Amino acid sequence: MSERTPQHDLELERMLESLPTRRPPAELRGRVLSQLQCDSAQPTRTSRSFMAIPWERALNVALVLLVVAAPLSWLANSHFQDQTMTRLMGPTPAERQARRVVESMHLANAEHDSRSLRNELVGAIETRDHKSDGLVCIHSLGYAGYLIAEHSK
Amino acid sequence: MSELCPRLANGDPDAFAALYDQLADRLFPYIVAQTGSSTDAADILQEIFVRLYRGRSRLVDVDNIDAYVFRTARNEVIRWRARHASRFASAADLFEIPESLAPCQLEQREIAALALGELGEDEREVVELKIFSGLTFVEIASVIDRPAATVATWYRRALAKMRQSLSSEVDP
Repeated sequence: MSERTPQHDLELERMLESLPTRRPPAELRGRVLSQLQCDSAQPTRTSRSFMAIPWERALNVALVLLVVAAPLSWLANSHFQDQTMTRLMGPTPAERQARRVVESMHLANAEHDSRSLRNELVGAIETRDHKSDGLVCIHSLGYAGYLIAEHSK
Repeated sequence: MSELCPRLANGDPDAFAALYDQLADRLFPYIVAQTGSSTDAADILQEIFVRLYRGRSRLVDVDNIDAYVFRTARNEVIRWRARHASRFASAADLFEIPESLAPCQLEQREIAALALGELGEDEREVVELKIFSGLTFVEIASVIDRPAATVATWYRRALAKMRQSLSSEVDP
């Protein structure tokens, strides 16, 4: 690659170079340099210092809060809903069946047969309409266990 | 020019003034030619220097500050084009036209502007960078991110097209 130009192109180059191109407006120099002076009050923008810009800092804090708050809010809400549902629905079918098991054991004065009790409880859980609601099922099991423990005292 | 870079990187206002004095007259016609508007070219030129100032820490490692600034200018023009409709620069946009200018000189400018407008975008940019801004082929290659040999080929082809176009205008 050479910067040397053939004669006929050289003439054209000279002609084009002789045409005076537009210059920037005279006041632009002052405008640019004063803009740089205003800018010098702020630190250089690097990846390390971008947090120094107020709106970016605010945005980052808001994002972090959102990321932390959203799952906590979801957990709190679902816990509240579980408690409310349990309170509103009263004893669940599983709980009622557990009660019946314990009462029949009491009436029959039967010995504590863990295997049959387990089968009864599994059946009790399967009667629940909301099978996916694991928390309520566990609650039912715990409740049944509590009743058994109370009964066997 | 290389001794300017450490001063620029330190944010020395005098260094930025020197850089402006050295390059503004060469940057401006290139930006005008690319945008077709001297008003927008002034705003873009200001934005280029603000951008250079804000990223001044990177200037310390720059080998060729002219090419670096022109590359920044080109990126700024591309950003501007994404938001605005650019048009071909007319002779009045590109060249100073004093009122006392002889008709034959005026015609020469108009023919040159027309011939430039007939070039492909890449060829026109190479001619603008070479003729109006005085960059070398190697510097242009660095600015437009193409091999220097390709730049030289585009330039020769552009001159041939312009020569043809000018001769047909002069001898109809």
